[in-house]
Formats: sequence, C-alpha cells, structure tokens
Amino acid sequence: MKLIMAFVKPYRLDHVREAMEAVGVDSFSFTEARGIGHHKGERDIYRGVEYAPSFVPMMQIIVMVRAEMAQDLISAIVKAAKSDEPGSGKVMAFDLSDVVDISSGTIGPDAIRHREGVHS
Amino acid sequence: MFLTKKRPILVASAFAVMMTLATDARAEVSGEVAFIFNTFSFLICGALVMWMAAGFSMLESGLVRSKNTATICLKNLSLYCVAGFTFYLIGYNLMYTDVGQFAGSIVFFWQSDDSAARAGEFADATYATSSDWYFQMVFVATAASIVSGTLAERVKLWPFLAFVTVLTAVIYPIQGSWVWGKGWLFELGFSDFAGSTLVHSVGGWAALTGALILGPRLGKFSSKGRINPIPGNNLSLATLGTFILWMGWFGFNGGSVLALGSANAAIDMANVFANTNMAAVGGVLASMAVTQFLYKRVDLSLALNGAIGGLVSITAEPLTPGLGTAFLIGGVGGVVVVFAVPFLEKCRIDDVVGAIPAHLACGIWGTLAVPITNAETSIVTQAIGVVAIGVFVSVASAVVWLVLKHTVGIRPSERDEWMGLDHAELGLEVYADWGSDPFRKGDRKG
Repeated sequence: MKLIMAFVKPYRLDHVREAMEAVGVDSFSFTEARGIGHHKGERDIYRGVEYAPSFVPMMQIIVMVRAEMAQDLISAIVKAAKSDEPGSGKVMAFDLSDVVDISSGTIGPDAIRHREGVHS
Repeated sequence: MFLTKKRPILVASAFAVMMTLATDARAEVSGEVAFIFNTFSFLICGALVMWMAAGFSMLESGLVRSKNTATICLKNLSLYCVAGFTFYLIGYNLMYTDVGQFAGSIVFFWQSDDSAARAGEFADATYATSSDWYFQMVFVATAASIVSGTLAERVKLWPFLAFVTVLTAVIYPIQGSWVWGKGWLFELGFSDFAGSTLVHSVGGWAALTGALILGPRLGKFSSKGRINPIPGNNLSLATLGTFILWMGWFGFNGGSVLALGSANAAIDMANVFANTNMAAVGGVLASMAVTQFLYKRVDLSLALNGAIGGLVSITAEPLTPGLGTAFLIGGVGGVVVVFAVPFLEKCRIDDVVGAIPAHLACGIWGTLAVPITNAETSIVTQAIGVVAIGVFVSVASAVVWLVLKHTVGIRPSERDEWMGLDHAELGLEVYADWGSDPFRKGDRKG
C-alpha cells in the first residue's frame, strides 16, 4: 500500500479530481496549505506599495492506494496538475505499513477501495 | 383690570372670526408650501433609495464567497457612481425631456431650472427640479445594481462597468420614457407606480441575458448534470442588506407618490408605506411557509429573497390595495421566489443571489397584478408593457454583452476565478488570515 501526497495549484484541484476518478480513485482528502518553494510568487501592489507575498496557497492532496495503482495515479496527477505557471507542485509516495477501515474494521489492502472495472 | 370697556368687543370679534374659520372650507396649502413639501419628499425619499445601494452591497457581499467580497463591494460602489453620472450626462433628458413616442431628447448635461420658483411663481413649479433629478437618478442606480448580484464572482470589473454605462445611459432611459416620460406605453394605459417593470424587471432582464452569455461559475454545474450549492460567506450581512433594502423601499415606493403638498398626498404616501411593509411581510412569511412544507426546513436566504420578492411585487401598485391585499400580493411574490430559484438552477442559469427570481419574476407578477386593485388598468395593457420592455431590454442587453464578450472578454481566466477576483483583479484579501506581506500574521488591521 502507498500513501500518495501531492501539492497542486488550487485551481487545478478539479482537474486532478477528475483525473484520479478516471483511473479508479474517488476517495481522497485535501487541505489548503501555504508554502514557499523555489518560485516565490508574483509581486503585487497594495495601496501603491509593491510587495512580494511570503507564501503561496497550494492544495495538499492525500490519498491511499494499493501498491499496483500507485504509478498510474501519480502519472494522472502529474498530467492534470500541470499548469502554465512555474511552480505547479510536487507528488510524492510513501510506503504504508498499515491501513484500517474504521467503520468495518478491515485491515490491510482490502481496507482501500477503488472503483471496480477501471484498473486491469 | 382685565375687563376694561374695550375688551368685550375684542373678545367678541375674536370669537366671531374663530366661528367663521371653523365653518369655512379647508384652506388650501399655498403654492410655496406645497413646493417645499414636494421637494422635501423627493429629497428624503431619494436619500432612502440611495441607502438601498448599501443594502445591495451588503446582501451581495454576504452571499458570495469571501474571496470575491471586495470585488462585489467595488462593483456596487462603482455602478452607483456610473449611474449617477450617466443620468446627468444623458439619461434624464433621454427619459423625460420632450418625450416623443419612444424616447426623449439627446441633450447632454442636464441642468436644473428653477427660475419660476425663484421668482415666486408656483403655479407651474411644484418642486425643485434638482430634487426630481435626484429622485429619478437613484432609481436608475437601483436597476443597475440588480445586475451585479446575478453575475457576481465571474465577471470582469471594467467590462461589467461598460455594460452598466450603456444600461444606465441608453437602455433604462429609453424604456423609462415610454411610461414615466409619458411615451407610447403611458398613452396605452400601462401603469407601473414605482417600477416593478421599469426598474426591477429591467435589471432582471439585463441580469438574465448577462447570465446566459457569461455562463455559470466554475464548479457550479458539473458536466454530469449535478448542481453544486455555493453558499455565501456571511448571512448576517445578507440579512442586514435585506433590511436596509426594505427600509429604502419606503422611499422607493413612498416617493413615487411624487407629491406631499396636500393632505391627500400625505394620506397616499402613508398608505404606500404601510402597503410596502405589508408586502414584504407577506413575502417572508409565504417563503418560510412554503420552504418548510417542501423541504421540512426554513432557509434564511430564501426568506430574505422572499422579502425582496414581496417588495418588488407591490412596487407596481402600492397605493390602491388595502393592507390585506398588499399582504397577499407580497405573499405570492414570496412563493414565486421559492419556486423560481431552483427552476433557474435546473435550467443551468447561475444567479448568485436570486436576483432574477426576486426582481424579474416578481416584477412581472407585480405588474400583472395591478388590475386587481386598480380599475383604470387592464391585464392586456400590463402584459403588453411587460413584453415590450422585456424584449427591448433583453435584445439591447444581449447586443452589449455579446460585443463585450467578443472584444475585450467578460470572464476572468480559470485561474483568476479560482483564486478569487479579490486577489486577481484587486490584489486584495478581505479576510486576510495568513501571514503574507503586508499583512503580518495575527495583526490583520495593523
């Protein structure tokens, strides 16, 4: 099992969601994050004074997948999250040792459910 | 000693004069006094209608997402100003001066002319001309601000103001001249006391065509037919805005009596105030009852829309109904709103604040309801007016929107819409929660 974490631009979130659904993943969560990376964010003017924002907003997506799905999912996210601007984000994969579904008590890969019939 | 020889004669004379006055016909208010009261009525009622600009601003602020709040405030502020200026530039004369069948005069820069009153001749001068200009100006501003609510969150500022310029300078004055300017619809017998059609439906038609040409907000309707609710960020502001509009409406309808220089006019205005309030009451209660029945729950935003819908419904004829009828007319408006809002969404028309149901649908109802209490009108002429003005405003608005869409463009980019127009167009955050310069974290007002 893998944990896929991705930082994507907020306005790509809907595209990323559709791309994940297309490969069979329709369960995930996200939080709104602020951060700073190599690209500092565009300078702007407020009441006549120029400034550069300290942090830029990104959406931090977290999704658990069975190991065999991970590569397809990462490719889908990368394709959907790509934007015209620099600093479109990053995707990373963690190994998951345990997953338990709270409602049913199921342990292990069966606790992660994907949509049937999409992934061969 | 009080009672000298002459006193009884004085007392008797005074008594005789008093008896004469008591049995005389009611003394007419002098022309100058009537002039003063009429002018006063236009000014105070006009100021109340101006206050509706604050009402629209707060109502719309509360019903958009926080990332678009500053933009909607700016749109309301600027459209009020555009309307005020164009009405001076061309609007008033186009609507009221030497009106033919279909329009007034193209005379730029309206000027006041109170020479008769200044000379003390009040036979033809019954109010200060600036007070009439002022009162009519705030009405055109009201019509324009209806459009900003529907199109919120996904229309660019300057193209929107370009549309408002044409709406307030040309479209509104021309159709207004047909009725209040005593043009062809007035001669036909069409009646619209304070503007259910001339103001509210006009705003509604302009908003509807705009919504169709602009398209819905991103994420509002999914390609699979799903309708996603996009709740407002502050219902307290929405409520405040509604109450402000409600109070301003007393000026909107009350001032449309167009006089206060006699007891009859005062009585008319009192009846109009009372009916206006009662219609809003009917709208709210009807909306609450229907939503409770249909959805097992009362929805505050629909109740607020119900108040506006009730007010719009009575605006075509707030004088002739009794209080009970006014309550019912407003009540029907409230019911119309509750059904119109989801109907629009099913048609995939995205109206952010419910302005089309409240102003257009109820404006049509209010106009057609006039013959119920006003025997000098007929449903046929009312319908002719509704259709004629509807077609004119829709076609003219569509032309403007399409020209703007295919020249400068009217929608922000997908990225800008997502980030919020406050950030994209204004470089601002109304609720700055994070520590990005120049807003230091935890020191928002610093």
